[in-house]
Amino acid sequence: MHLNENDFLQLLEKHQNIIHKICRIYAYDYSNQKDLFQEISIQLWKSYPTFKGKSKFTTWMYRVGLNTAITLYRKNKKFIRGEDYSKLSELKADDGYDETKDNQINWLYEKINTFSEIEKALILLYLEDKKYSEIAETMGISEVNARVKISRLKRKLKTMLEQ
Amino acid sequence: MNKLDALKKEWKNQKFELQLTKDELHQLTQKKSVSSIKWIFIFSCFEFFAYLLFPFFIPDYFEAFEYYRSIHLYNFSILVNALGYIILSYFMVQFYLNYRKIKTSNSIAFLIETIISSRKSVNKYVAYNISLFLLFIIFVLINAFKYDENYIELLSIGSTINEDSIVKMVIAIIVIMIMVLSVLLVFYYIIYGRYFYRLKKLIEELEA
Repeated sequence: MHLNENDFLQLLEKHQNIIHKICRIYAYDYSNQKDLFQEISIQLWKSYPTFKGKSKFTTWMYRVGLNTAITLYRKNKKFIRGEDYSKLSELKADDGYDETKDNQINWLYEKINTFSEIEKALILLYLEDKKYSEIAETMGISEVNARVKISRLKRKLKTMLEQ
Repeated sequence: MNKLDALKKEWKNQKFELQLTKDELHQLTQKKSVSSIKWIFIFSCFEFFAYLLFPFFIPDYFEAFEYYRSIHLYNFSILVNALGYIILSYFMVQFYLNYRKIKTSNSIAFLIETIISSRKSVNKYVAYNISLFLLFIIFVLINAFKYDENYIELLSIGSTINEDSIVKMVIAIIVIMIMVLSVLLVFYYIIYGRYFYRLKKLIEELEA
């Protein structure tokens, strides 16, 4: 069991950026991001015994991470209603698309912020270059449905890029 | 390369300043979970046990059986109570089995559905229990008017109490029942309503 834990932590350390991305997409501020990161880590460790190596470790990580962010994690609503809301609207007001790298990523996160919880999961999997079959499996929908949803999101993002 | 592909490339190259070490990650995994599922599980267990312990908190609960005997409802009251415990055990087992199916490694849609179905067994349990309770009250009232002297007097002609007050009494009982039910419903809405409404919306969006 101890050997297992070491393997797990090694893999977690290597792929922790997956969790960082999920946190930045789903949590509104630094303190919520920290809490969500912790909750995802706990859930990953708790469900590690169910990971049988049938799927890739990262595939399994996306699932547990997204499930935690979408259905298990209780957001600190007080903060969202308070000062952060004004911050969010400021971000939304800044619609210009900048060519410089960091700004591009920030711009993308701001746009993703306006998406629904489900759309956020879909766009993450799309940006991570997951196959449609994998996206469908993670979301629990048919592959056809996954294709339709992704192409809709791609169109949405393209329009945003051209604005 | 179009803009979208360029963006995707940037996405893949993004770096996070904060990189946790194995030890730090280990510490995180040992912390206590604050997930909503955990809270739903605790609340649901509490509901089951509240009903289980209910008789012990009601004064005269056991003495009441003597009264039921006097209005020819003794066997019926035993039956209803036994039925209550059978329903309780059935739903507790069902709830536990559904709860065990909740795994974060399942697909997003499947996880949401298992959460909803596990909670549904508790809701059904509460609904059955309340209906059984209401049914029992109605039977007790009917038999009380048949066999209890005090109640029969209320109905007898020439009684000091007129029909108006009986109507008022019936209305009062109905109003009290409706009030109790509304309080329960508001309580349920506050605890579970919004969360489950959100889950249902998520499923709708996934299936759309």
